[in-house]
Amino acid sequence: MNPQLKIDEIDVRILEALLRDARCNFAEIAKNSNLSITAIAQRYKKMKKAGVITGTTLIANLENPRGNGTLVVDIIAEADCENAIIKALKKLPGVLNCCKVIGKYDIHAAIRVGSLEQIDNVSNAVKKVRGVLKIELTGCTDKLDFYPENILKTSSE
Amino acid sequence: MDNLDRKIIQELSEDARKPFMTIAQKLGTSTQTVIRRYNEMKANGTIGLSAITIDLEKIGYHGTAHMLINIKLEADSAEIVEQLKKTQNVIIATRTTGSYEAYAVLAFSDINDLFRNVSKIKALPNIRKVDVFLAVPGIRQFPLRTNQFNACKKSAET
Repeated sequence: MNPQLKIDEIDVRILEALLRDARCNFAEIAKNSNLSITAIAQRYKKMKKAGVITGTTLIANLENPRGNGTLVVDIIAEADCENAIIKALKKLPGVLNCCKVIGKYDIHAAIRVGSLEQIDNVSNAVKKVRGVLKIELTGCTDKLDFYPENILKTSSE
Repeated sequence: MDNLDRKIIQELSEDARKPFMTIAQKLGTSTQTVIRRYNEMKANGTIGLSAITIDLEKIGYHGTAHMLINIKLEADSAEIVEQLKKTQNVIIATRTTGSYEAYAVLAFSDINDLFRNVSKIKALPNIRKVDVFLAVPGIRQFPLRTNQFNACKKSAET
């Protein structure tokens, strides 16, 4: 196994702030941690170099700020068709995540949708892909939020 | 939403930490304008999430599982999702409509960890059934990324 970067309490604080807002204020973290802004920036760089921080993400609701729905799509596929289906799915606009799964279904995807019309488009597009036997659509009724606080921990824990 | 907003989003989708000054210079507008537009889009919900991404593997999570959950008919799904949100290892949790009432994503370090966490969720009150799907390969970039800006790029160019 690769030697992993030791993550301490202050690193966790930095990661959590950046996971809430990519443009968060380093000065504020520095103040709360009794460290200099330079020290915070150095830790940020160190985590970037170690590959803990891989980049940034931006999720925007272009058409309609209120239309920020997510559709969960689960598919039962014909044998050996999974990779081709995943390739086709990944071309749909708004795909957040699409992968093979082990369980009741074979493929799982999460797709951003802004309107009923878009749900219909996704559903029709998926049905047309060769090898799709059954699709199950589940609409998320909450805004898709992420909870970094449930997984961030220091290395010693 | 006008073309300048779209272009700002396009720039930020490449790097959400890109300095506003760099964006302003590239788009031929003032830094103040970019900052004002950015704050407006954050406030009205056009920008839903702007965050760094981290490699889950590097912080000790070697797999992810998706869970579709059925709850007891008389139970309140909002309450259950609130509990899921506070559960260790849960990275996404939302109410749903369709054949299931809730959806959650779990990060785990190994099979024992997965078993322990799924058991914990099954033991929450008012949960009737949990369908678990192991992702192959699991999610590595957290939070998720989207490809929606490929389409945005096209419309910004026209």
